[in-house]
Amino acid sequence: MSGNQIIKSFHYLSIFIGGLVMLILSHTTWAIERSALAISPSTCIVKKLGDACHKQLTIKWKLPAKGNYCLYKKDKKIKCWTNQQNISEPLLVNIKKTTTFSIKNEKKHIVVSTKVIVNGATSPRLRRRLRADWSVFK
Amino acid sequence: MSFSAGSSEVSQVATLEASLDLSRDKVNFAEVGQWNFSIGIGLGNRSNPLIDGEDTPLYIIPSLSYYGEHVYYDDGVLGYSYEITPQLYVSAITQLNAHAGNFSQWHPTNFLVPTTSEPTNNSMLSNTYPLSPKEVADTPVSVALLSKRNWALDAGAQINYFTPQDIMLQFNLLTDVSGVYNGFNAQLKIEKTWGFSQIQPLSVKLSTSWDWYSEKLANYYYGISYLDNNEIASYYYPSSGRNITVGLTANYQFNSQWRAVLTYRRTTLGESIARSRMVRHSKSKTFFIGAMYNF
Repeated sequence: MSGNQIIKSFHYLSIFIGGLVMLILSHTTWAIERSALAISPSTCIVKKLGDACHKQLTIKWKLPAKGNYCLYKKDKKIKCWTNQQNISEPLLVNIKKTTTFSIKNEKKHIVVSTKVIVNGATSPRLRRRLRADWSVFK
Repeated sequence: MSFSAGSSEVSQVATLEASLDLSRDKVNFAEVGQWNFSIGIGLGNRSNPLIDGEDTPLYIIPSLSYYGEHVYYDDGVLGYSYEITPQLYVSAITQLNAHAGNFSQWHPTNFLVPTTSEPTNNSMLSNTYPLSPKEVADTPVSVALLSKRNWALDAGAQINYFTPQDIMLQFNLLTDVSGVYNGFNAQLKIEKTWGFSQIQPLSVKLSTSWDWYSEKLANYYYGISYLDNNEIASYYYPSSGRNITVGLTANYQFNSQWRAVLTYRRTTLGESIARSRMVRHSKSKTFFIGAMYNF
């Protein structure tokens, strides 16, 4: 095999590997993008932890196939859509702590989920207690 | 379309969840700058080892604490702490000496409930004169016949060390600053907490402590002298010694306000105290089962 043939073989091989990599990447990207749920903004800042976050957010979801899907706040059903694949609409939330929202299919299987974080603007600073609990019984 | 959350959000979730766990852990942590008041309601008893000493029934137990940057107050202990490392703290503290509680009509840490006492076996205490010196020396002495034992205020240093295995080591050395017994006492305590991944609200704490008392402390509270009794043969001068306490506490946290608590502890008195004729039991027990509400 001459030097030129070797270079040519490497050339074809690099094109083949490059193509393969691109194919895998595009497939992966497609796989990632075919199911998605976002509620934005994803963090709700309240004055202090424990306060309620009562706010209008935006929900966006996209699924691989059209169908009947419902939105759940933990285990509580919030809203349902019929024969939909893409949704982008306002969502009014009222939560006191970080909460998981999920989209379930008709079989009530979770197909995608996300969290809305509730954070305090003034989170309490904690320190260790330096006395044993119930030492009042001494 | 991609809606994936960034890594910063993931870390925020972790930090937040950790802080929520900590804020609920009122047993081991306190919010800086906040007073904490809680009340325990349930059923319990603290036994009194002295003859005619009054047991303390435990129905309602108030608890008050405050932790500032350095100054803190926690159920009767007033301290000023300095954090050497996040695991090691040194404090100057002051507190009432608990030995006086056995002689008191009421226990200052539990003044909301009445006290009761075991009936005295009168045959042991009704002296029929004349008694031989040995008979006098063997006769039990009711606390009612003793002169008053005052409350003393102790002050001194305390070291707390927390290991990553949820073990707390606490050592303190205190002296009487109120001129009541003019002695010393020291305590070494080891406390281990267990959490359970299967039952997350439950925590169990096992502790043991070694409480040393000086001769002057033992004499003031448990000695019998001419101030108590005219019979010279009945005088008793105890030496220094140590009490040993073992304890078990289980907490079940329902939410940030309510938790169930079960606690049991047993103190074995030092030999020099246990030999005093005013002592009826060489062991003192405390138990409580109930619910605790944090305000």
